[in-house]
Amino acid sequence: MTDGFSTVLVANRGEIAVRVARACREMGIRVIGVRSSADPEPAVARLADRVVHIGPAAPKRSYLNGSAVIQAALMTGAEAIHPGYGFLSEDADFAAACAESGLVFIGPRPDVLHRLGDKALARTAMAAAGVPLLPGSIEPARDLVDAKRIADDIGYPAVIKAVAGGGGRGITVVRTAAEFAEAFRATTTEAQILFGDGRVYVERYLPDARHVEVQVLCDRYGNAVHLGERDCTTQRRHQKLIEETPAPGLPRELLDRMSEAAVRGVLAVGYEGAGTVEFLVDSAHEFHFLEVNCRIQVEHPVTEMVTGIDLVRQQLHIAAGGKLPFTQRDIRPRGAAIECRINAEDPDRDFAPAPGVLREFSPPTGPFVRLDTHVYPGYRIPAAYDSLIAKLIVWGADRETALKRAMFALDEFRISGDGVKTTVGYLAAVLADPAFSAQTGDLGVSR
Amino acid sequence: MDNHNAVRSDRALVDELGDAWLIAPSTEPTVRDLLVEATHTVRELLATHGRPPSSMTVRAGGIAIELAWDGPQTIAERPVATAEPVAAPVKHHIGAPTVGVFYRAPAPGAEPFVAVGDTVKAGQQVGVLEVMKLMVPVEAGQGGTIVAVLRTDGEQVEFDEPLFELAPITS
Repeated sequence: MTDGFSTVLVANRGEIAVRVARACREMGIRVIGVRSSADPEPAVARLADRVVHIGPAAPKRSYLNGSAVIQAALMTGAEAIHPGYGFLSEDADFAAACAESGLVFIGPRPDVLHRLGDKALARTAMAAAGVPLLPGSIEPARDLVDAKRIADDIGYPAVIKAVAGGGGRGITVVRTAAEFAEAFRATTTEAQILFGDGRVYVERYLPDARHVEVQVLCDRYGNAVHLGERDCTTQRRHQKLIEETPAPGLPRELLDRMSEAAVRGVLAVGYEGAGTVEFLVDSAHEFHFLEVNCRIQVEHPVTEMVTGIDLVRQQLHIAAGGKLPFTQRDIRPRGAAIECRINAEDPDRDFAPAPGVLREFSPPTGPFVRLDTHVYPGYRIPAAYDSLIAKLIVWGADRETALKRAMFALDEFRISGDGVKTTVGYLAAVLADPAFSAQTGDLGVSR
Repeated sequence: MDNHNAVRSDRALVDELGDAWLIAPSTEPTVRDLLVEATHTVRELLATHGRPPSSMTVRAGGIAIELAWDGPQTIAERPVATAEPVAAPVKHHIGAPTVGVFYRAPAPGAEPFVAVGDTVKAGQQVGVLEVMKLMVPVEAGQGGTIVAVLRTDGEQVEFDEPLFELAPITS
């Protein structure tokens, strides 16, 4: 056990930098922020002791530049680096470089990051821990002939996935055997370009499956708990739009078994910190392992709303050598929570990014309404980064109450600016869709 | 403008004009007086325009003097004797190419890459930044003279932080 960190550098931008900085402040930890030239006045500056300009707008030279981030930590006396999500958050080499510089990387060990970041290795590890996988190959397919044989064995539709894939990229659904060869070539080429790793594996594709994930917390003493599930079925082109907990319409017994499998899986690999195990749940209510996200996730607030547990605070506590302060029996989720991701995108133009200067930004408030954001009136949304500008999270005693509250909150939202378009109206339409309230998750927009 | 000189010049002009074009003997009120008045106006017009007229007509009978300028009939400002316009000195900086520790010399105890007063070429190394044991050269983006060194040896700097002040070479 230690007394905790005194200074933490937040190696991220946007709302998650603000989120992490808040947890640090509540714990009496000094905050160092970083920024690129495209973020001249970051919101994190209000919470940070200092914000270090680490590079130009291009992410590779700033937020993805591990050397610059570590240098900023060393020159400001930070003891630990919180990577947030995206950017360097799951980079095993960066985690190792932090350790070499005497800094604590807030997340799993580098070898665990490497093992879970490689989807083939992750599948092998999970299979060994008795976590059910989708029918398909455990090892990456050797070549087109090998991949085709696997697909023919498991049947169509099948899905080809990049071993190094993520964020909805490097995934191709193959409807028939005749389409396979072309899809294989396209996916391996894309994976090589995007991730520098052309290896792929083949799985059964479940067209009506629900995307449900389990939040876990592990300390370095072998203690692990799950904090329930999040249903992220409502997606558009593999990008999550709305997340909620509990997963509607699924038997509690199934969800409990899935959560226990998640804990078993992460314990087997020596996981430390906060993590998410993603599953697909098919129409027969069988669950199948997808991947482990070795970071705090965008949708983590829905879990915080129902459990009352500050996940970022626990990350900081665990990384400083703390023990989990609760056991599984202490975690009792209450009610329902929904998160809507508000992006600066134009739904009428195929969700093309629509950045600009915000003239008006007046978010909803009120009981059980949480808004995580980094923007403000006059803020210039940079075109260089992700289009997420705010997350609206609401809590209700049950799903129906939470849903209504989310709809009212979206209706209260006022965002405008020159050239700025947002997904607020689109999200309201999705929530109002009978298919969404009927919990089927089939909106014609998903997957 | 010196008024006395202006009047004298007017008289000189009138004398010339009188010699050339005054045919009729002077009567009262004198044509001469009218001419003085007219030539005075001509002088003013010539002075306020920066360039000579494109045409000029002078009639003695009844006194008519016409001056014409091509182009827009704007009255130019009276040329005022001013010093040559001096451009405000533009401050050019050589900024840090990365966050890191700034060093002025290639090795401890070695001569600095540059000193104040040195002339540097575009692309010339003027310092070095240490980032995670990696040495990143600091180069001048353009040619000029080093006016000031803004950070001390061994100081930690952020990306784009000004390290040197440079007076660019003007061609």
